[in-house]
Amino acid sequence: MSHTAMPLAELQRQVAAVTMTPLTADEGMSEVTLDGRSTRAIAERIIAPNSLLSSFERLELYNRQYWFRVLSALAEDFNSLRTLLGSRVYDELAIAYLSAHPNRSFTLRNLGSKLPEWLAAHAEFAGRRHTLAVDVARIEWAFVEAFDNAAFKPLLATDALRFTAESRVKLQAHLRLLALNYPADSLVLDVQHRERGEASEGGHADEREALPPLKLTGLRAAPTWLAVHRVEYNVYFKRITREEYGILTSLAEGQQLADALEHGFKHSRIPAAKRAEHLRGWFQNWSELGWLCAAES
Amino acid sequence: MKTTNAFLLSAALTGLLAGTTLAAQGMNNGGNTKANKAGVRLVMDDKDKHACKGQNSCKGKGGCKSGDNGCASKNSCKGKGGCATDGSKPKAL
Repeated sequence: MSHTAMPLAELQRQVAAVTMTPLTADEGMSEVTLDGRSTRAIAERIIAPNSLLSSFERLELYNRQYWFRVLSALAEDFNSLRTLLGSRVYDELAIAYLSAHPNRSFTLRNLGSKLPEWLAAHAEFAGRRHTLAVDVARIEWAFVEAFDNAAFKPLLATDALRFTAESRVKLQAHLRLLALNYPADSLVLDVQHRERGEASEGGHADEREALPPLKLTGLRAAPTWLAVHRVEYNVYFKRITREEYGILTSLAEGQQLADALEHGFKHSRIPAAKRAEHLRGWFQNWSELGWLCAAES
Repeated sequence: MKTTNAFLLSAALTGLLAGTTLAAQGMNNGGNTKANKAGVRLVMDDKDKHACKGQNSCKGKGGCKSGDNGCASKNSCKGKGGCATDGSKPKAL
């Protein structure tokens, strides 16, 4: 081992490079880092061996702990994706994703933040189920955000009385709006119900247990619009119409109320005579759920 | 504003006023009405038995009102380490 002093930042970079290198097939430390450096040489430079373990073996403990922990945390957040694809494909996907997007945050909560976007660009993992898999990943990430994003103060009746065509609103921070290719929320709920049933019968399955891909019956592609949000510390899925999605996303982009309404009904099949009735109901529902907040809050 | 939107705008504002009024009433009667209109509730499994495995001990389970407003915008242990339950400390390098 070299006794040359190494700056702390460099030491941290070297430890990170090794610990974030994916494990071998038998869950050991790879001989080379992702950028081709020898992990053995790095270990021998920065960690002294002891009577039981070599430098390589001591650093390997951290390498294994990193991967076991991030894979476990990701599997928790994307349980339905894992069920859909099966554990073998999911594990390959998770390792590839975490290699491309290693943990950069103080909290593992953010670990999967780029997974939907990354998966959309990597069709090789899900094959014919790729589009559905992306939908499922988007729903599961929306759940994470709906669960613990901040809660803005919703509009009050006194605010509503001052509203005009030019008014703008801000959407609730925990509200997530998704335009999906499949009714994938049904799949996520089915997986959850199935696992709850199994859990009540025999305990939770280990996330490292082999799992075959989910058999899909009756799930057909169909444009689906979904709101994922929180009420009283619980997360809900709420199907919405294409028009609702259009209006809400326009409001989220900062459009004035009148413009958002116009955008929402663009290409709509709802008869003109029925639109006012729908709008009244939608706005009542959204404001009752606290989805609309003052733009300046 | 386009004149064709006046009727629609009026409907939207009527709904907005009704909803904010109902929300205020709901706060006074426990908020059950609001939950009934929220959609399908996700019920998460009780996974926090393994709270030290990079997980989130109160995620999605409700009942998070205790302490510092519970789980809203917070994550009780996920990724923060310090999870040794037996009081042990990691060995120094």
